[in-house]
Amino acid sequence: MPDDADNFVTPIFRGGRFEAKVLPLDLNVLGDLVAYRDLVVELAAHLLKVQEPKRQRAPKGFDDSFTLAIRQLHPGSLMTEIVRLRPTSPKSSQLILESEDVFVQARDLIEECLARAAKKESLPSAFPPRLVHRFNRFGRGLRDGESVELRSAGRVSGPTYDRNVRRWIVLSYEDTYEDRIDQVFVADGGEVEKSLVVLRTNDAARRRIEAPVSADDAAEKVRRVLSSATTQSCVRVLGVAQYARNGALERILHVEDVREQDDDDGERTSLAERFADLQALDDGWFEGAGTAFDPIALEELHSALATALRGNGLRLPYVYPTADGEIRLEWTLGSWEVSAVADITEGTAYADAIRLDDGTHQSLEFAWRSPTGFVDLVRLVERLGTSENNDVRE
Amino acid sequence: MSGSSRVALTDADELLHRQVHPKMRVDGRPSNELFMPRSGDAGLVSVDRSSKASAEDAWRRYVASGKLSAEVWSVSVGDVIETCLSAHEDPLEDNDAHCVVDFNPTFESATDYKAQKKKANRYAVALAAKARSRGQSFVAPQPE
Repeated sequence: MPDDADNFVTPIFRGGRFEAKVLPLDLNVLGDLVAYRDLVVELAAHLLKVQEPKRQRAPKGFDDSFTLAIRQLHPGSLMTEIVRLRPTSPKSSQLILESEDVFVQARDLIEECLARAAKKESLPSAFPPRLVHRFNRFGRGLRDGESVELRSAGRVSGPTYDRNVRRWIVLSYEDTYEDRIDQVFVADGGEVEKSLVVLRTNDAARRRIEAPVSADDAAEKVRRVLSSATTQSCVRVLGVAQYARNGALERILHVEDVREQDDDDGERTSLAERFADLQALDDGWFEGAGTAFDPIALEELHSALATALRGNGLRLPYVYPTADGEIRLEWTLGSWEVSAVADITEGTAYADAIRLDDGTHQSLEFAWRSPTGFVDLVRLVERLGTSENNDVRE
Repeated sequence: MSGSSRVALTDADELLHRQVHPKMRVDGRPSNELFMPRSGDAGLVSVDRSSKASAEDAWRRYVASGKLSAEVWSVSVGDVIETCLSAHEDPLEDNDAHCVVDFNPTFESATDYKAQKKKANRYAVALAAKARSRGQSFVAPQPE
């Protein structure tokens, strides 16, 4: 980046997916940074009007005079240095000289909001309540356990922003908050012309929810729900929803994607992310039981599994820890459930495949550290997953 | 878990609620470990019966005791019987809804916990799949 840029803020992402030391190719994260930029601009315009009460609105070009860009991803960490580009046109340069402070003031005020919200203190009086709704967008890409520290230029630390802080801020002035939704519903209908789907909650209440579909290929997504609705099948819905103060779902604001439950690997947690989560478990993680996994043995298991799965197009297993120090690998393949339990210390594993509709059962034992590793398990999964009608009996 | 009472549950429609530790679910899917008997529990899996506690009541009581639960998933007594297992009352001093699903018949001749767990796996898988097909009975509110 040339010298026409100044460091503005350095967001440092931590926890969850970020522990794998990769920045997920997830527009939600980039969307968070765009939402942050929009919040700074709107707050700066407000501060300018407060400081110059005679001004009816921000000067022309005010918005364009403030441009943020990612300078670099620091090696070995998830620090994304955000710089402020210096305007090139004389008019904008003049403008930025006049109003430079308000952008910095806006940045600092946002950081003060975050710091106070983290301590569950009321927001600073200088922050206008009408802009609180902006926090519904900023931070929407963060999942539970993930956070971002906003470290201003020249400072050694900054406030930490996560889902709890975001909710606290929004609920300071609103009765509801917005958050991403990733939930299974029963498909119940839809209208292609109106880009609308009808869902029911997948619980005893079966509450009916109508939701607009915002994606470019909305018609296709509505048709997918309509298709599943004929059998009242479950679909996984991803989008943005509005929640009540107690966390209850109020309504779905827009649906971005609808996935059949058997076809959702695209949004699934990757193996690398999942094993990073497992590495992060401490002693006593399960109600005082459960020990931290040996990182070397866990990485061995990860590597053996990744090698076995590579290139064969198999669905990823769901990966879970057990309180007994094992790792469970689970697949749902139509009417078959495959569940393997790997002992990471001994290098052994066993697996059961059960056909739920008639109780047919197959079992397998293997040494995952041996040269053949997960080959037999992968073959079993492949066979059950790809055989026509899953009609495999032995 | 007292295990003292042996009154079997027979109402096939009655639901049995099970708490899910946050680390035992991935991408919204709870693990088959959900219904696996744990070491020291004598082959019994704790549940709360719906006739005496709603899923939310069961969750509130559970977390009030200092334990973690992200969601409640449930199977019916009929599901348990179909899986060739049994459920029976096991009221506790502070929880009259407490019941247990008994995995002991699945252990066959296995005596140590590891071997018993291996024998029990297929039954736990079947029960967890039945719970997943019902969907969550209760989702814990997100902290404010």
